[in-house]
This record gives sequence, C-alpha cells and structure tokens, in this order.
Amino acid sequence: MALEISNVTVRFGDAASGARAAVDDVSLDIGTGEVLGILGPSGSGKSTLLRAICGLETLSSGTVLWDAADITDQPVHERGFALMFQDGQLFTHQSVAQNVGYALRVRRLPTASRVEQLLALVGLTGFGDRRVTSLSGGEQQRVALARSLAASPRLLLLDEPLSSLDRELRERLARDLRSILATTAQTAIFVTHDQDEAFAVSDRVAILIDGQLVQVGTPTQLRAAPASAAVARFLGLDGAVPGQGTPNP
Amino acid sequence: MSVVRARRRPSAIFWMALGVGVPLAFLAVFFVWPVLAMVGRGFSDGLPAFEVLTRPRTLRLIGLTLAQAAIASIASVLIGLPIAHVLYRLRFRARGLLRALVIVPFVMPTVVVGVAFRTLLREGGLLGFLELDGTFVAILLALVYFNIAVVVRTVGGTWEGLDSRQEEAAQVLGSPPRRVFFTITLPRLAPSIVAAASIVFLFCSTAFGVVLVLGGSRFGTIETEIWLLTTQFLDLRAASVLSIAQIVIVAGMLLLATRARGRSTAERRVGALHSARAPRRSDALPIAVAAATGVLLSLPIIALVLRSLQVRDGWGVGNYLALAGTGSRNALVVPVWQALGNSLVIAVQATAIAVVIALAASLVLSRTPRSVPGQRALELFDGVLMLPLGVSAVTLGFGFLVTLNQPPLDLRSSPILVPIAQALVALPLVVRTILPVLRGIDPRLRESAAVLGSTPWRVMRDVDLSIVARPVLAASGLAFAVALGEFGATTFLSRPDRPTLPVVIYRLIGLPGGDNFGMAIAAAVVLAAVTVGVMAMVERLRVGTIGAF
Repeated sequence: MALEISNVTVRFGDAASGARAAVDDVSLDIGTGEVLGILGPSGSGKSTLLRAICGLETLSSGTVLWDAADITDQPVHERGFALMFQDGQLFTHQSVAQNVGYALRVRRLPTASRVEQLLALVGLTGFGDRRVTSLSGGEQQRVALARSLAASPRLLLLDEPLSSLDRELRERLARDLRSILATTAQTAIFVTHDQDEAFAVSDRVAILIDGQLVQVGTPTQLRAAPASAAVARFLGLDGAVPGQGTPNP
Repeated sequence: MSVVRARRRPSAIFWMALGVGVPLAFLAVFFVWPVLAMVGRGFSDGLPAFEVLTRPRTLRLIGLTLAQAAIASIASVLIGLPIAHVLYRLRFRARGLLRALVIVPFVMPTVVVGVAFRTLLREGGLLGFLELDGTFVAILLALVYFNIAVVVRTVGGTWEGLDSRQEEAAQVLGSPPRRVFFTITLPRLAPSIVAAASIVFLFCSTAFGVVLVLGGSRFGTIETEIWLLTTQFLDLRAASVLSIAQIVIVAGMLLLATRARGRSTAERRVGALHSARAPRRSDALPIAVAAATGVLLSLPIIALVLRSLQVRDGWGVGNYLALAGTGSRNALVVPVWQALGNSLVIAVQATAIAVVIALAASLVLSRTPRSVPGQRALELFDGVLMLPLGVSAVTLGFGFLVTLNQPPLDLRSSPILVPIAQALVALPLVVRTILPVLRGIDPRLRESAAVLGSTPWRVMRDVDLSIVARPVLAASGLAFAVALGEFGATTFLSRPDRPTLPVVIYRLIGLPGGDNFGMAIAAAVVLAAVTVGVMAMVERLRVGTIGAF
C-alpha cells in the first residue's frame, strides 16, 4: 500500500467540552497509481480528512503511513504531496507560469520546459505569461491542477476541485481529470459531494457520513450493495437495499 | 459635478454637490488658505528665502528629519509585523483585549508620551541606566512607540482577510514555513506594508510635541525648526520655505500611500474562518516579539504613574491635589482642572465638526462613478482630504493667525479657532475609519432597497447610515481622543485664559521647580487616563478600521 491511515480522529476543541469529532476513527489505504474518491454530504468531514492526510490538521489520534514509514509528525512541506483546493488558491501576485513552476523552484529544479509541458497537458498552451486574475474559473482550476502536478507529487489531494464550476464545464473537466490522472499514473485522493463526479473519476470510492467511514468499494460494488440505509439514501438508491432487506422507513 | 449615475434626478446631483462642496469649502477656508498664506510669506519680498535651505543648520535638520522618519518607519514595520501576525492570524483567548490595547499608544497625547519617556529615561528612572535621556535614540523610541499601532492595524487588517489556503497550498507543494512567508505572504502584504510605512514616515517627519519635549536644543525636525523660526526668531520667510519643503515631502508620501492602498484592494478578502488558526510551535518568534513589545510599551506609562505619586518627602497624592491650583509661583493662569474642562469642551466641538464633514465627504467618496473623469475627480478629492494628515500643525496654527485675523473672517478672538484646527487634524482619521466601511457595502444591497420602493433618501438612511452608525460612533471617539491630545496647532491658537491640558502640561515642564514638574506628571496621567477611557469605549464598538490606513 502507498498510503495507509489508521484510526485517524480529528477533533476541534477538546473532547471534554463535548466537541464532536470532525473525523472519527477513520482507517483507509490506497495503492500506488490508484484514485480514491471520498464522497459525502457537505459537513461530513471530507475536507478535514484530506487536510489531516497532508498534515495541515493535527491529528487528535491515529497514524498516517507512507510506504510503511510513519509520517504522522512529518512537516507538511516535507511530505512531497500536492493539494488542489476547490477555488484553486492560485498565487494572485504571480503569473500563470510562475504558479505552475512554484513547486519546482522550491526544489531548485529547472522550470521552463516542464511548465510548458504541463500547460499543454491541461490544455492551456501559451497561457504562461497571463495574470491568474484574468482567467476564467475553469482555466484557473486547470492552472491549479498543473501546479499540483508539476513536481510529480507522491500523492495528489483534490478538494472538491470541480465544485465551483458550472455543470457542463464540470463534466468536461471531470473527463479531462480522469485521463490526466491515468496518463501520469498519479496516486490521488479526490474529495467531492457529487457522486457522478466521484464515480467518473475514481477507481474506488469511500463514503464518509458524520465523520465516520461507512463504506469503501468500487462504484459498481457501492451501487449493488450499499452497506446501510444511510448510504443508500445518500446515493439516491431509494428502492430496496440489496442484501439488507427493506430500508428503514 | 456630474459624477453620479443618477443624472436624471437633479436632487441627487444637488445633494452630491453639497457632500463635495461643504467639505471642500471647509478645507479651502480653514486649511488651504492659511497654509498658502503661510507659504506666501516666503515670497513677500520678491524671491523666497531659499538660502535658508543652504544653511548648515537647516541641512542638518532636514537630514535628521528624514533619517529619523526612515529609521522609525523601518523599525515600526519590523516590530509591527510579528505583532500583526499574532493578533490577526492566531486564535487565542485574550486577542480582542490585546487588539484594543495596541491602539492606545497611537492616540496618546504627544506631550504625555514626551513627558513619559523623559521620566522613564532620566537619571534614576526605570531605564535610566541606559543613559538615553536627551539622545537621538530616545526620540526614535518615542516615535516607534506611537506608530507600531499604525503598522499592526493597517497590515493586520489586510492579513486577516487573506485566504490562508494560498499559504497551505504552497506548504503542501513543498515550501518550508520561512519560504512560504517570503514568497507568498510577504508579497501579498506588500501594498499594505508600503501604505503603513509611508503613513508612519509621514507622522514621524512632522512630529512636533514629542521632539520638542525630548529633543532639547540638540535635536529637532523641520517642524520644530518652523516653530522656532516663527515664534523665537520671527523669521517668517525662512519658516515658509521650510513649510514648502515639508509639504513636498508629505505630498510624495501621501501619493505613495494612496497608490499602495489602491493596489491592496485587488486581493479578495475572506472571513476569519479561512485565516485565523490556533498558535503552533513555529509561532514562537512572533509571539516572543509581541510579548516583549507589550512589556516595553507599558513601561513609559508605568514610569509616569510611579513618578506622579512621588512627592518631596516620599510617596503621596500631593501632585494630584496640586492640580486644583495654579502651580508654585503662579505658573499658570487657570487651575489644571479648569484646563481639563476646556480640553473636554473643545474636543467635543472639534469632534462634531470633524464627523459631520467626514461623513458628508465619505458618503460621496463611497460611490463609484462610471465615467473615468468622475473616478479621477473622486480620487483627487480623497487625496485632498488626507492632506491635513501630513501638513505641519505648526504651519496650520500659524497660518490661522495670519489669515483669520482680518475681514472677511476675523476669528482671531473667537474661541472656535482651536476646535476647527483640531477637527482638521482629526478629519483624515475619521474618513479612513468610515470610508472603508461604506465602500464595503455591496451595491446590490442599495439596489434591493430601491427596487423594494425606497426613495434615494430612504436607501441612504436604511442602508448606508444604519451600517455606518457604529463606525461613525467609533470614529467620533477616535476624533475626540486625537483632539484632546492635539498640541502643535493648539499651542499657537489657545488663548492664555483658556488653555487646554496639553498646553498646560508643556508650560509646567518648561518651568523651574520640582513641584511644577510633579504637577505636569500628574496632569499627564490624568490626560492619559481620559484618553485610555475614551479608547476603551471606542474598542467596545469593535470597528476594525480604527487606526488602519
């Protein structure tokens, strides 16, 4: 397994004061080159889990392993991951090319040809000198994706990368994302609240409800056998739940 | 001015003209005219006395002014940045209280700070062992003391609104914390740092009261030199040349600040949810700097209070009891308590004038005209309103004396001159407090009110005025505190039988006799206490734009 997280809990405020865990005892693993979707309603703790994996949130308990090495306490910038936010979070004071080349400059790697290659990959050839504020929402997300991929991260984390876009663009970008991740054999975790998106992009999907991991499986498995009535309801499978008899009224 | 959208409605244009006209007329009569008259004195005998600029003494003072302003601005930024990080990026319990306290030195009357620093640094004072009394360093320390708040408030306000996920993205991409700060955070803060630094530079290069009290005869600024030339040597021609030199410097810095302010608005602001976080171990350095600075900032006031309780034979409240009298050998014309009464009355009048003018101007400035000339005109108007911030209070005070003493406006004997001068000094601060709030109102809010059937007046009342009510109240408190401590212009204009408290304090420290000095200290404590009390009430209103530029 590339990434293994075990019994991860993230709590804001202390447990004594009755703070509910945003992420509650979650264990997961991901193989090299795999794309794992994390699907759940808003407020279910998906983004917190993602931030915990890359080290931006401190764990209340649990461990994060990479290739069997414990990285729970490793500083964020030493993990060799990349994170792409819902609204891009491009560096507004830098050009498109400077944004894309950021991780390369940090690592003292040559930038020019790699940046061009990445811009071509996301379909933005020739955009290097543009200001990021002059781009449309879809273009900004493409730049953010290129920036995340630049230094070939060991793990790419995507936090609702398509949610701020309109429907048509979202569907097209979901297809592009899938093919880009496939061609680069990129290990990735993809967080979303939209099941069509999750199923279109991911190899396996983990369902998170109220901070708890309720089921992990391929899209087919999830549709065929939702583990509980809550999962079935969330997936919109309103009929009978196979293997579970009739759902709770 | 046809700068408004609503061309069709003549009444709107009329009120707009009034909103521009009244502040402009006020500034023209009570600011531009006196200042120009002062400057004009330099040209009264043909060519201005430019030779004053070549005098070694003048050159030395200009050099000192620039050096002192430059060093103090850089030091204020270096100290202010870590404090801004702690107070605006970290989430902890006493944050609100500390944010309130940090503004206090900024509104402290200059005379009080001058006296406090002398008490602290003199032989036998709390920091007497440093032997800094009467040195250049002492002046620098006092200037930094005033201006840290400007940096903290200005940069902190911007920092609080920056989305911290850009920093997080950089961190995940492999950037260590220090590099994140220098490549992501600092460039985004740069406009507000430049704005804050240029305002600090401005304040420092026109500093008067504190330099007069601390500098003695060895150190001075262009400002104290103007004062010296006019009041001691009666060399108005030389003084006016120095005024011109000062106005040139000030205008340059204001231009820089305005441009930087314009650029900083390009960043999208977010709620504190996406910026503030719990303190981490990597925050140790800024927290240490902030804590040490906090202790140092409280020292002058502690020294002041301690000294005020020292009487000839040990400890006691004798100095405070003496405030009911006129000092030993009748140093004063009126008892100190009466001077405090004068100060309060005059400050209320000054506040009323400043707030009315500033509100009228801000309501106009907050509209965005569609035409480019309209936008330019408003930018110019904005700049003009900021001018009193940097023009020498001494020039202004003396200008009042030479212009407003003859028909059509003979106000020399009128008690209204002092509050008008103080209102001018407070005006830019009031505008900078309420204008950002008005500009922050989503125009769609006004449009919704209008669509729902409100007349333009009703829209202004229900949207603009109701949103800006609290900031106006807070700005009134700020204006009051500033007016209360104003010294530069007031010292020229206040009549001997109606002095304000800062004028009385300065007179007392200039007179021989330990009793008089003790009284001055006690009076300074009283003035500081009133100021802190006013600012405490202002802070309860929680208006973030106070003291930010």
